[in-house]
Amino acid sequence: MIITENFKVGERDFIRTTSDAGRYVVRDGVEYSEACDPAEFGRTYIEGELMPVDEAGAAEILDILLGGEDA
Amino acid sequence: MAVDKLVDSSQLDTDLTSVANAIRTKGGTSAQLAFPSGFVSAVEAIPTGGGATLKQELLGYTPTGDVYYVPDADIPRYGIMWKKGMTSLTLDFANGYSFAQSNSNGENICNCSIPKITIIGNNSGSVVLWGYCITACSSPFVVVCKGKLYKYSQSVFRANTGLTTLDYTYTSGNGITKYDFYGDSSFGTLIIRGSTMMPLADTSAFSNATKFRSGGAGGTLYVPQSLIASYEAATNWSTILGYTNNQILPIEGSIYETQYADGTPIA
Repeated sequence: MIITENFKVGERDFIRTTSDAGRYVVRDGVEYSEACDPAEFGRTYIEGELMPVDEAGAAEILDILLGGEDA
Repeated sequence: MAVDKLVDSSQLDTDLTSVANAIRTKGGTSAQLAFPSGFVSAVEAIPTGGGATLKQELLGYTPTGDVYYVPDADIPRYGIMWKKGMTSLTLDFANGYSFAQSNSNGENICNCSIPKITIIGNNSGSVVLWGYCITACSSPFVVVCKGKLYKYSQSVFRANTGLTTLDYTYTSGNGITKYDFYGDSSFGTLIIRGSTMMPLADTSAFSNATKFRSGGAGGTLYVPQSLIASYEAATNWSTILGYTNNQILPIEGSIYETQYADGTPIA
């Protein structure tokens, strides 16, 4: 499912679009793992392919959880 | 047929045998070589661009000075590791080989102190920059990527505290992606060449310590003048360029108009 979140950069409003299923979000054939746009652009996305697992990143997270490395 | 010289056939046999033996030794074979076709084929089969000797030097110990290397096999995981003393390393993948993959992560160039690393792709785009392709390099260095390359979808230049500058010629395919510069605390100059805008798939590419990050010291993005407006309006780029201290400048009029970040002139 597509989820959106509002945030600001300076005084400007932005919208972050992601997938809660670990999929890319896609617009005009371009895949994004997250898509941040100025709110006034009104851009919309659909879900795409599953994103690859970041195995090295997962290993780092596991290491942090086990106390082996500072976050 | 001209018969105008006396030849010592015994000496000629000895001479030809010595040449054939040299070819057999280099080619790792003891097979009979027909003259001249076998000699010609065997010589043609010897890899160009340095071949086995330079490969052994590059992968086996630390060479010094500038190294221009045309790989004659895939660069394995940890293939170029702990190299110090080189002033530059150019990997020209003209022979069609690539960085080897290892569980989505390349880790092909690790823990090196090489001020300039240049990667040249080939026409087929079969050279793959895997995640962590260059990693754990902490001395200041620049990376230049030109020619056609295939860039993996995340973490390609991750965890290099020494990376200051990336000069990337974009043709097509994956753009800047998730965690590409994650943890690269010195990274503050990005030059993107090419006539097409390079997508930014995730703002986390610049997260954790880079100068481009939110609240960072500020990074500079150089792109062709004709694409500045496109980058400023693009998904994710508009966010990164909105962070205080970041700026976007045209390549035209900068030092990067006439030379790559490794100092080589642009033809």
